[in-house]
Amino acid sequence: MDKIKNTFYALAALVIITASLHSCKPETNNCDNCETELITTVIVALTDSATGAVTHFVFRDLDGDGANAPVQFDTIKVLANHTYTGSLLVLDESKSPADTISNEILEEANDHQFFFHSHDVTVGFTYLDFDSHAPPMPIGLSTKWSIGSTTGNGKVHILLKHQPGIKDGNEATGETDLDIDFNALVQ
Amino acid sequence: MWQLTIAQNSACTISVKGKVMDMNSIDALEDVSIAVLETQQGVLTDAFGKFQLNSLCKGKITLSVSHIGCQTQIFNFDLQRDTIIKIKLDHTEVELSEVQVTEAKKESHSTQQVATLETKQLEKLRGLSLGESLSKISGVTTLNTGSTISKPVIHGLHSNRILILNNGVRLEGQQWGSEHAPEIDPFMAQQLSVIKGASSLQYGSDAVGGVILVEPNHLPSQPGIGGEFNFAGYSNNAEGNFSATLEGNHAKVPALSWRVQGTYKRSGNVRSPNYWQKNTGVEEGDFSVTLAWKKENYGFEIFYSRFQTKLGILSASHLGNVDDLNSAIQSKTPLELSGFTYNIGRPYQNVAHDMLKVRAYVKTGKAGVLDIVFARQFNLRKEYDKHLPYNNLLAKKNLPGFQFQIQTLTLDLIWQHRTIKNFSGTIGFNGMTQTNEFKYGYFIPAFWNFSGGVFAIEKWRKKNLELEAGVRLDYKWLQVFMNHNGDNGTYTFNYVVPSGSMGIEYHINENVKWNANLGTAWRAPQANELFANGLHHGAASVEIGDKTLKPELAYNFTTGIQATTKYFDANVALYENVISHFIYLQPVLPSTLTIRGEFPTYRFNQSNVSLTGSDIDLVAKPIKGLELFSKTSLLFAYNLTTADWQIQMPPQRFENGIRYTLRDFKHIKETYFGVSIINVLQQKLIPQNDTDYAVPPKAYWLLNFEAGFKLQLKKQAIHFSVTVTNMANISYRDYLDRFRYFTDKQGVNAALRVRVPFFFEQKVRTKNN
Repeated sequence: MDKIKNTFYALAALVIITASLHSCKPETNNCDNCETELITTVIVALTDSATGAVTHFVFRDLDGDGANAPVQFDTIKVLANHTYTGSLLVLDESKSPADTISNEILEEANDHQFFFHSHDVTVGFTYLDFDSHAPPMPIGLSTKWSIGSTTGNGKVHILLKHQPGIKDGNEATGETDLDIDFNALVQ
Repeated sequence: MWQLTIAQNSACTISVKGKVMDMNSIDALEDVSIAVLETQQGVLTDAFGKFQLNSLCKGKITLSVSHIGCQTQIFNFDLQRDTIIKIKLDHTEVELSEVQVTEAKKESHSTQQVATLETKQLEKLRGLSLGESLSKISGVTTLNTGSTISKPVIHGLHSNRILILNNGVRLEGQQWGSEHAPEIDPFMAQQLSVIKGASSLQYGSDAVGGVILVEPNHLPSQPGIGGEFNFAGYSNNAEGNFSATLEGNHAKVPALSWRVQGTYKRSGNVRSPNYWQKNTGVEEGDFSVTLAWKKENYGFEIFYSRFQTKLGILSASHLGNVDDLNSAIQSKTPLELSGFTYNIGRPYQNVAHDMLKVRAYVKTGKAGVLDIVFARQFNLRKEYDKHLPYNNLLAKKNLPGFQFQIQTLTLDLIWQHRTIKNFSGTIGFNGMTQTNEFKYGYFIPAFWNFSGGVFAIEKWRKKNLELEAGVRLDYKWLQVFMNHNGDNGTYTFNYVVPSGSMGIEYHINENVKWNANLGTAWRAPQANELFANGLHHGAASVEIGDKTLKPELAYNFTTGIQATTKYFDANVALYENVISHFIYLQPVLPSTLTIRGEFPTYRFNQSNVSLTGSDIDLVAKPIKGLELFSKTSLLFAYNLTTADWQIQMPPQRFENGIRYTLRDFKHIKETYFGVSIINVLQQKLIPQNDTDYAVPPKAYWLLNFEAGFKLQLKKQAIHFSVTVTNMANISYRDYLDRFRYFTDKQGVNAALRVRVPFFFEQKVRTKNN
């Protein structure tokens, strides 16, 4: 019987030792060395071709595609019959200093394309930048905005598609990186 | 000296019938295990102590007879014709001898609805995942995420509501996700059992839906080296499965047995009737090692297993936002197609699961047996998004989008007392501690938890009546460490909940028995249900947890009648499972506005639900060799709080078929062939204002074929089988497939399986030799 007892005690000891060694509090600094990537901010800079005046319109959502609401969502205000040069700045402001995602989009221009639409206001969009495809395909970080003559409220829809190896100029292709429906006011 | 035994010879049609009784009381003994060591055939005695073994061969056979509370008896005899034997077992004496001892036997579940797949049935399922294999059982369906990920669903419940016991240890992986398949190699199992319904007190209180037992074969006790080689190849996705088992025991050290088992699986893209599903390959490699030391009064077992898989996920399923989802649903074919390849690209999952189990049993005098099981499990899951980082330097690192790791330690102490005046029973303790961490993207927080439960189950049995009752008390402590979205809080949760069950089994006569069971179970909310907060890319939806969720409480009633006669077998079961505070994802408005556009939003919500259903298995045997069978699984899932049907529940399912077994012809034995038709109705029991993206898929039917035989070449048997699923190459989608929005299911798939068991007997050298 002693043999059995001893075996039992040995096993119990083993169990207790192992358990106390391993049952530990979780490590919660899970993002010390992970370089996650997020898009938090889009800044639309419009330069009036007539006056050279620059205005900025911002969409800022600090948790990117998280469940919290955006903290800044400007209305794009433009003048009727004016022409603007539009440039987009895309940032990750969850990091310090902020990461400029638009530079990375430019580096991978062959896999990305912005698409623009207007609703209830008249805006003509013309691409000014092109990638290295043959023939070149548009990117959309730099565009020309031609505003119509009617004043009023509407929407300007900006869409960024990630089309790795499948870029075809079609906005239904690929995965959506950005999809923002700005309120717009033509004055 | 080693010698190949004559496993089976040409006259393998002999049957052995018998009856097992207690030596002293002359009472018939139920659940006595009778095994033929040479062929590894095994049966349990019925309530009248009777058993029957068929298809035995002429020649010497060794019968091993074991029962709880008495030592295993070994009988050797020369079998020449059909034989009837009487066996008397002694429960009072404890006498040491050279033969093997009984281990603490598993609790039988006679008052519950239990279905089992054994060697013969498993042989036709080799190469399929655990979930797919179990869906052959009525009442069990699968929840799929495309063709590579499949989880079992019992009576409409899945994931953490089902407890999976992997070789006696509760599987603790990342079961909370619906796209997280069980981390188990089905080749390891010699038997798969499903206990349907909530009330399996000895395994844990949280089995609200049921318990799945994955059980390997007993370790060899006969001196020699044996094993099995398995191959399964599939036509649809050019899948190959190789699995081998090697096991042994030595005459000089009879207490020591060992087993090594390994499986490798590789499959390429799956073919739907009209296209290839891009990126649906799988690569899996698993192995396990077992070492056991068995003595009369004590024994040890060490078991280690590793499961490692890389699962491709249909490319077209990873989406940007709800507009992308709508355009994917509108398209008749997946938006990305490809040809055939074995290569697995993004998105994919890489999952590894390690388990170490140390088990010991000690006979506590004459009173009973104490069983101690300690196990450590470590699960590492990496999910690789389709989307590479914008930054090329970062992209080159090929980091996963999410990484979850969970470590679990469990300790089970179970003491079974021997039968005293018709009473038998078990008391026990289950303890568990877990540590969960994540890296990269946030989906669920880091947490740790401790839980413990004590239970007692007593059984009273006399003649044809058995009564069973059990109680259990559980304590669970959960601490969550948030580090997301500016919330750095620590949250602690405590739960103390009792549960219980009672059941009856009554043998109306030798052929018909009735049983009923009433049980309760409860499940604490999981960390994801409490704290999820973010975008689920595969589902293009935002999931939001709720810290105030209460535990789910289930009240489950099952009853059934089983009849086994010469011309007809029937197994009809009814169940009612009422769950209060049932946790599910409820769509909420408005949808979430993010920088990627709008996403439909779901919040974890609680309702009282009622799951009512029936499993009906019928077999008619009009002439020898011919079987007509029918399986029906019905489920009506109603949400009592919203007074409407409950979403995401399996539709009604029927399978009807015919199977014919031929007489043996020379070396070709056990030849059978059959066809069956599976018919799944459209799920119409959905909420009126259903916010699902697409209506449930149409009803479908599938034609399946199976055939097999055993080739007996003198000393060696080789088992061949062929199955063809979806023979008519029907295009269909299934309601419980999360990828039904994107792709049709698999088309026609033919499989060839070969099983080669072998055994080299070790001849014991005698002095004269």
